[in-house]
Amino acid sequence: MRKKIAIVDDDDIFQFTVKMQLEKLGLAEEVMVFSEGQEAIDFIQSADMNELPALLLLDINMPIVDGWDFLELFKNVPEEKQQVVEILMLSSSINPDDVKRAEANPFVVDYVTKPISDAEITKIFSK
Amino acid sequence: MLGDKVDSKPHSEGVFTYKDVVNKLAQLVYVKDAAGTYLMVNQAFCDMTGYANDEILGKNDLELGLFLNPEQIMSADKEVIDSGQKKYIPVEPFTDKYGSLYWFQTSKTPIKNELGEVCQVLVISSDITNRIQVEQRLYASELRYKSIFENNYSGIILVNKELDILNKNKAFNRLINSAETVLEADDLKKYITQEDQSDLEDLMTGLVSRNYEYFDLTLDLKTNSEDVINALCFVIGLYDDDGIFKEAIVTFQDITEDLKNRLALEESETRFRVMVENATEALMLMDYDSGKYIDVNRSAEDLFGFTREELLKLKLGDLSPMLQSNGDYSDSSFADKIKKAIQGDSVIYEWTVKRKDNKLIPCEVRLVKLPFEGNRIVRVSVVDISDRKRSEKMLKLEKLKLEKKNEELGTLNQALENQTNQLKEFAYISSHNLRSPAGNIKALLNFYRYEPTKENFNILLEKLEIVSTDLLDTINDLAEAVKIKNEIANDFTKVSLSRLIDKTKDSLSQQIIDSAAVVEVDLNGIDEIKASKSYMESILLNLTSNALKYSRKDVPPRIRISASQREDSLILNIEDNGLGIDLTRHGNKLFGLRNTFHKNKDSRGVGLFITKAQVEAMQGSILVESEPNNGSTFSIKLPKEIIV
Repeated sequence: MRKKIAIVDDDDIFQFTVKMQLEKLGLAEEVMVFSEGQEAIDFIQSADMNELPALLLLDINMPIVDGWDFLELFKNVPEEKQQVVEILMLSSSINPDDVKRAEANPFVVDYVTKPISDAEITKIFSK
Repeated sequence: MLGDKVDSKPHSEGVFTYKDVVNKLAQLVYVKDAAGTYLMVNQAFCDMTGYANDEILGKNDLELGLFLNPEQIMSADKEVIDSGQKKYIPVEPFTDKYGSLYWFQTSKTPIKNELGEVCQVLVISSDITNRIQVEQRLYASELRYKSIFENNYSGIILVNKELDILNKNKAFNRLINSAETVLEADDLKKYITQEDQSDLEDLMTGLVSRNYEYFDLTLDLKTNSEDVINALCFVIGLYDDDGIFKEAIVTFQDITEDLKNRLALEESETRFRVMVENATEALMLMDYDSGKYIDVNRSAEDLFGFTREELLKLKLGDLSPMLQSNGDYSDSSFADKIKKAIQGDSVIYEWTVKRKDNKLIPCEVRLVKLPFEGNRIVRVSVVDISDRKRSEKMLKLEKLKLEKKNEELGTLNQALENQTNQLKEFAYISSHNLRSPAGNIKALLNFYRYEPTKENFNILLEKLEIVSTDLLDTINDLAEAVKIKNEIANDFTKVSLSRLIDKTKDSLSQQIIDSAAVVEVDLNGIDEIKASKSYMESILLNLTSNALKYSRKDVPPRIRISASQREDSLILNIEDNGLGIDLTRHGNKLFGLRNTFHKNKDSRGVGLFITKAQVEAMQGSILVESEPNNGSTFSIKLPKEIIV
């Protein structure tokens, strides 16, 4: 099933390659790209229910509002919106502290290290 | 009648009549008839009684009252007349008319008449009052002496030159444990040893020949219960008027207990003497008032190197150097201490003593006042504590060494821990920062491989260009960080803080002008420091440029660079009024690599990482205080030693 996907990452190349990957695999109905956490939160808060992404790929390291900040701000998002948006953390960090922290967060469904392979992305979408 | 006879005798001139003779006699001569009536008295009688002749004659004793016992006198007279026998009365009391008492020795002789019948009595009395008085006094004195003799606590005997006991007292009986209650004659030889006997006999010879009149000796007295008593005897000779030895008085004093006590005391003394002599500590007795030692033991001789005789001549200060190790004068310090001891305090202190060979020895001295009556004596005991001092010093040194080693180990451990943490952090950062571009390259290649068009190739090249630059930057940053982290800065030179700050301001002059920034500098007089010039330049430049870069929109940057000295450090603060940082959110990553906190095109997230590494390379630390929109203060703490 094709979904609306949001990419929250400040890395231009990553935004480009993941967008291409999703389009190639035909998994995304629509790919939204945010270079910064605050932009994504603002969008979610203001968007209608049907505009919300079903899956949000969230990077950790970003300037100003990083991945962790985003998760804090996401607590303030209306519950019905929270239930719609599934968050997948995507990071180059292999620091176990980051992994543990992500797993402990109720909004995060999974933690995946970059780069993400076709197989991994297909598997996530099949859930 | 006799009176008549006497009277009737004719007498011629120059010849005394019997009456005259009788009247001249000192004795009282008087005649009484059978009824006791005085018929005749001589002049001495009248003189003695104080009555005239005619006051007496014709009266009897009852009427005259001359005797204390007139009835007895009269009956004695009657007895003489009746029996016709002469009667001798050795002592007869007699009073004169004034009541004074006299003593007389009287003879009563019957006088017969022509018919041969006894009808009168002739009484002749001699005044023995003086003799009687002497005798009475003597008797009283005798009694007293007898009492003293008998009741004396000391055993006393009277012996002749053959040592026969002529008399002995109760105490002597007690001494020899005799049950005798009657003081019988005895023999002293029974009670003494053969040896003592010959000694005593020898001494008695001298006493008898009056070479000396007394002597003393100790002898062992055997008692009836077979015990032996040590007795001290005092023997004094008694001589008659011609100087001939008569008897000797021997007084015994039981000195068995004394002797025992003395022996015990001597033994105890000896024991203590041996103990004191062999004590390992130097013991000395000092007379407080003369300040001289009055006794010392062998250890004292050994310790000080002086002989006992020499030590006894020395004064208290002679055994110490002029000054003690704490700078006190030995003399006054010792005087204070000994004064305390005299007041009853127990005084213990460490003291340097000076031997005869001028060698100084650390000692422990104890002063105790001794309870000697009259004299103020202090016992001074001195123990050589050289070994203890040496051990203490060694121990102290060892302890210091250990502490230093521990400290080093602790520092090393801390450094190691820091290093490990930094390494771990570095590994994560490296991994993260290299992983991103590597992942991007792979993803880009995948993208091209999926659709290898010319257009996509151009995209690929363009994107690879960006990624490779990014990758190279990352690698360079990491390499720089590794370089700084791997070495403790050792190119320390004297640098002027004020000049470094001026240089920084010069480098940033354009930005300062553009942003209308104000840079204040307050170094509190601190200027020259010994530090790595390149690191200090880099740190100042980075922090100052950050302060300019992250300023608030429409608020001209105000930057304050200040220095101050703390107890153990130099603090360098760079304070701004800029955007500030939300430390609750970014605090843990502020000094990380490739972490940026502002949407600023120039921020690569490297500066603070490098700054921190440089500060740490100079044994320092960096902290930040900040609030969003309220400026930041970066505080660099460097070891105080770097201040010149």
